[in-house]
Amino acid sequence: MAATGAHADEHLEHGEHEGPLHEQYEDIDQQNESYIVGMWAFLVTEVMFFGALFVTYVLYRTRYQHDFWVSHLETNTLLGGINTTVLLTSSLTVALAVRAAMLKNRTGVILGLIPTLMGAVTFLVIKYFEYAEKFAHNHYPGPTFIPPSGAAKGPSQIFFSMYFGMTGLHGIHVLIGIIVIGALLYLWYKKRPVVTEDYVPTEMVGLYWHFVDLVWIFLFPLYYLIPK
Amino acid sequence: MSNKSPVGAQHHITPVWIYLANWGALLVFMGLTIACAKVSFPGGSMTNNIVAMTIASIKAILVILIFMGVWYTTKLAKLWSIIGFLWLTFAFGILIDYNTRDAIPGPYDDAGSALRYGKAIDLKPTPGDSAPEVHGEAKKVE
Amino acid sequence: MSSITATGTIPAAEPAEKNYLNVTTTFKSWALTHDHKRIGVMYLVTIAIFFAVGSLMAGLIRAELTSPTGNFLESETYNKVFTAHGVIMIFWVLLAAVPGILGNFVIPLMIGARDVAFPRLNLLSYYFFVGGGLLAIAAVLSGGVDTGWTFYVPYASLYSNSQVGLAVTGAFLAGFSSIFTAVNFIVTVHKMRAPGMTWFRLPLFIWSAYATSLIVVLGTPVVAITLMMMLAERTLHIGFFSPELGGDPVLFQHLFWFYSHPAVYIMILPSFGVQSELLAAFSRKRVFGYHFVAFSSLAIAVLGFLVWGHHMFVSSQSMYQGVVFSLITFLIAVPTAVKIFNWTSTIYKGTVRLHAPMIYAISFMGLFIIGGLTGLYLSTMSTDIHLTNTYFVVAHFHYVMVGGAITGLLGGIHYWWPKMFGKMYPDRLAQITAIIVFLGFNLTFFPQFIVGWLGMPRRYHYYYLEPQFQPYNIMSSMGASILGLGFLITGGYLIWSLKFGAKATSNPWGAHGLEWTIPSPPDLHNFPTTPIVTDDVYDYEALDAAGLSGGVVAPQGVS
Repeated sequence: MAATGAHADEHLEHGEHEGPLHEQYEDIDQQNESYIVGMWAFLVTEVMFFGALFVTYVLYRTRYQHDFWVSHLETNTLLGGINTTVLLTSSLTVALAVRAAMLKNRTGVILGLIPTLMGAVTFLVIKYFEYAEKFAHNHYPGPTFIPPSGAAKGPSQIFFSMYFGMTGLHGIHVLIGIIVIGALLYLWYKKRPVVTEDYVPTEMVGLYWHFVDLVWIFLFPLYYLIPK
Repeated sequence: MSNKSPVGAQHHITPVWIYLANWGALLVFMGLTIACAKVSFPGGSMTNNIVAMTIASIKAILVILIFMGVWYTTKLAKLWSIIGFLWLTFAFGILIDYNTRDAIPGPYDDAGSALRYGKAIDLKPTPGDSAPEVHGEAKKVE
Repeated sequence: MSSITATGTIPAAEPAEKNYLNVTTTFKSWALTHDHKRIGVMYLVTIAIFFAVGSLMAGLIRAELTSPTGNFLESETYNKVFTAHGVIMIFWVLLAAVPGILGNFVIPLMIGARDVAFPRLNLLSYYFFVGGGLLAIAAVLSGGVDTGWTFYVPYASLYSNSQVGLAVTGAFLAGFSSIFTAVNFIVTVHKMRAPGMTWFRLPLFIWSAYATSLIVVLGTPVVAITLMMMLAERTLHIGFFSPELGGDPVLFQHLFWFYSHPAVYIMILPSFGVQSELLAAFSRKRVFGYHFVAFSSLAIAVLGFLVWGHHMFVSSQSMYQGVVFSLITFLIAVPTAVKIFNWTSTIYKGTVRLHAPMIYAISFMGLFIIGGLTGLYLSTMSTDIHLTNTYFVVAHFHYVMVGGAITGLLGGIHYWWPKMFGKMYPDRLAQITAIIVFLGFNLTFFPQFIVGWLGMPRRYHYYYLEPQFQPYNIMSSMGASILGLGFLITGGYLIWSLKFGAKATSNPWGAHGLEWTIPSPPDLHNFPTTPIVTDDVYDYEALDAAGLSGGVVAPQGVS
């Protein structure tokens, strides 16, 4: 096609470009869709990654419904609700940042990413207080575990294992999100062409962050709103 | 390259009000799910679970379609956004195992219908029962 | 394909051409390369080392089993040896071999691309692979793992006093390596095809690599999180599976096999693809039933996800689910048989040339048929209860994994070796070696069917209560020696050819496909200009008509 002579001989190693178009691609459209499809393929693995935990959760929840209900009273619905709001709002701001990136509106991107980053940090701070409360009551699974009154020890321990396992894994994803969004913000602030010339890197970070939101949408009712 | 979409097809600019409306809808659904958790629906906690998961799924679909832009994206990206959730249903097939273990056919009661698992394990073999006799016969054959 | 524009027929005999191997020679230029061809070569070297380590473990096992009372290993050491053999061979040889070596090298060449879609991710994938492998080697050296490669709970999580943590973390990294490679291949196949390279002009190796990548992306995360849960239970006492902590150990088996059964298709499907290439090239015919073979790969990928329960017939799994799993396991034989029949029809009335790759391809057919049909014994619930955990199972999966996957790998390496390094190996010696490997393999594993049917359990190294098993075990060990000799000869002449082999032309086999239109070894950027594909896949009639047959004589460059 058009880009036949694009790879000059002195350009021996792949990569290390200034512009957004990498040399294995013919044009920017091809590259953009490749990146988006690649990101979705990665998110598919994330869906399956969390999916196995959800399967485990459903099994134990149906088996120990009563103990799960008693144990879930220890979670703080108010803090969980605040965290849900924080994540949903940060999803909105990152979506607006991606929109601004498509319009090449640098100020808009930065104004969208800063509240997203703040939301992510707020989420983890609130999560820290929630965890601290569980640890204070010895609800951490292990030899020192004390179940909430009214719950059997084994099933309650499974509940808190699942709770720490799933929210912990989600928390790790939030932490990675903070790093990635921070890096993106830096690149935009420094006007690096890799982000300013092409909206797709920003959109990929956006997709990731929406996925983190997506997981929390399911975690919230499953851990904070268990019916009796 | 061969299945390249027209230039700019994936560059759809969504109006800001759609994002804001989506955000508002998500917050409303969050309030709804908290409210529903306090209500005792007919049918017990299972109804609550169905309601909560339905609301969560609607929220997830809103996030995927609007925020993640799947509504406007290329067919290929649409395919890959569906496939993971589709496959997850296979993984949930694991639970079929636990839900069908009880349905062991037999031992049978006098009417010939299968006893439930919970009853079946109550049947203790007693010295006069037929089961140990069969075992004894097998030993004789040896 | 013949229409690569005027510069397509490059005189390959021209010496001192810069190619991807010698364009830069520093260590850094290899270690940090983004070139898919160099990464493929790095996989080749790495996997050869892991294969040697795994084979060494297999040799220890076979040496131990020649005597009913064991020869030199403690029971615990024996457990560690077979675990090391299984873990290394599965995670660091079988899962990565064909995609890592051949997939990386030939997929972009076959579809006319300059590189894979994400070259940096490709390099990262390689380092995850090596890093995980080093952890596994460290686990072996620092005391070993005694759980078996399946890491069943609660033994692996709460009781085993061996290096489970290191081995599981290594397997986790290897899993992510294969996920990265798979994402890369999926996007590459979707988006990087040259103009005119439609889906039904893709070589069948691409189809099978695509199906494999689909399984990897959808299955590997499940086992990754399952192993992490097991590790959390082991280190943090966060109970997920162990009954002591309120969990369900069968759930671990479900989640583990949800990936690990599809994983056997990850191992075998790429070799199916190689098989299609070899049979077409050496029968000089279009693969019979191209569409059926292509879609059977996808059918295997989907159905493969619905049969995991056949590993659990003797667990406390619901018998109703067992019946369904048994039925679907029978069904998956259908797309596999579709492939076998179409391959057979491909050879029929073809102009067959028995070069070394073709001998591997033919032995693949025989061995895989035996491996596949014995799988039907095991998918029948009633016979499986008798055969569970016997040497019958061991023989079955070695027939599929070694007889299938490794034979396909060897055939593929012999087929693309001239393209990779621009050198010809001695074809006659390779043919003889292929036959040695075939005979040695059968002598190793066929007796295991019999001894397993008679009731010898796997993973035991004492059988002094049943000394009549000894002749079978001695036969098996003799076969293993022959097999090992075959692998050594193969490695020897391949390395020899790098230095002393005759120079390969751009298309020594007279084969059809974009990768054979460029010099051997290829230029750094693969194609001088982006090729435009105008002819059908495996269009050997057109190739013969154009006089590019390569002849039905010896390959060019071989004396």
